[in-house]
Amino acid sequence: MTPQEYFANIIPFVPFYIFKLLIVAGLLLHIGFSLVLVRQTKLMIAVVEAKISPFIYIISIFHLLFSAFVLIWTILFI
Amino acid sequence: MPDIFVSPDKSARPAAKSESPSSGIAHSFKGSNHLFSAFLYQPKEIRFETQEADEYIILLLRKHWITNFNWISITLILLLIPLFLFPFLQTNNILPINLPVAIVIFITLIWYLFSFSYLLVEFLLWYFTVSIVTNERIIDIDFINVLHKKFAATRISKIEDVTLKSGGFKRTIFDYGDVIIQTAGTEAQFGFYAVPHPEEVVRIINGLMEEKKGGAG
Repeated sequence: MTPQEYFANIIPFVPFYIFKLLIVAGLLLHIGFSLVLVRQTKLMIAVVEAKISPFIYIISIFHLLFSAFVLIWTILFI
Repeated sequence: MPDIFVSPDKSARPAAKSESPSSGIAHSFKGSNHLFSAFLYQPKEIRFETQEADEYIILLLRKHWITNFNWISITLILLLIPLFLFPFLQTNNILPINLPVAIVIFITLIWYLFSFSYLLVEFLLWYFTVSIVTNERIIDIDFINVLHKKFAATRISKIEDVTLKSGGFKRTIFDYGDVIIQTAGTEAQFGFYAVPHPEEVVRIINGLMEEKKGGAG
């Protein structure tokens, strides 16, 4: 069963593309949040410079990439 | 004839007074100077914004690690939920129709993405909200949330009073508390909240105040 068929069975009166649009919009908002987090992490590591700071910055970039990956995956497979 | 009164040796006093205010704890807390420590004594590889050329960090304080217990526990639960939820739903036939694999993967990805966001934000807020005691100043850097930062600093010479607030089961067991610093500056009060070893923090700040007063007088 595809996701489209699944949603048609569960909630037949709402078209599937409405769901997908809402999910994509939510994930776009999350990417915005992740970008803010990367920017803010950069500011934070400038305030307190430690040996671990570059690693924390890399983690925040990884978080942004993960967010983008989920968005792309959703567009392609849902 | 035995001595009835022996005058204390005055020559020993200056040596005791000139001792660094923080030197007494140097060896006892050396072991806690790791990257994620909440009580860093004279950290060598840490610098902060606005640090002056002749200024060095004596103490860098964060909230005690036990204050992170709630969000760490929540994160662990969040990480474990998908591992048990889907098998539970499938085996007990709770859902009217079996979930397609794509939906299961989608929900799992979204779940871990938001868990990761939660973990990262909580960690960043804890790690970068620091209180710093230098040889010159007291600095309080508060990240209220991801977008809002509060930076306050005052000279040691402007400190008027240092108060310690501790008590309660958790605080007594894990030895942490609040250090409230009253100043004559524009920022009337500085609060180092839930910091480890508050008595030592007060002792070090008092020592620095004495040193500054001694130097000024």
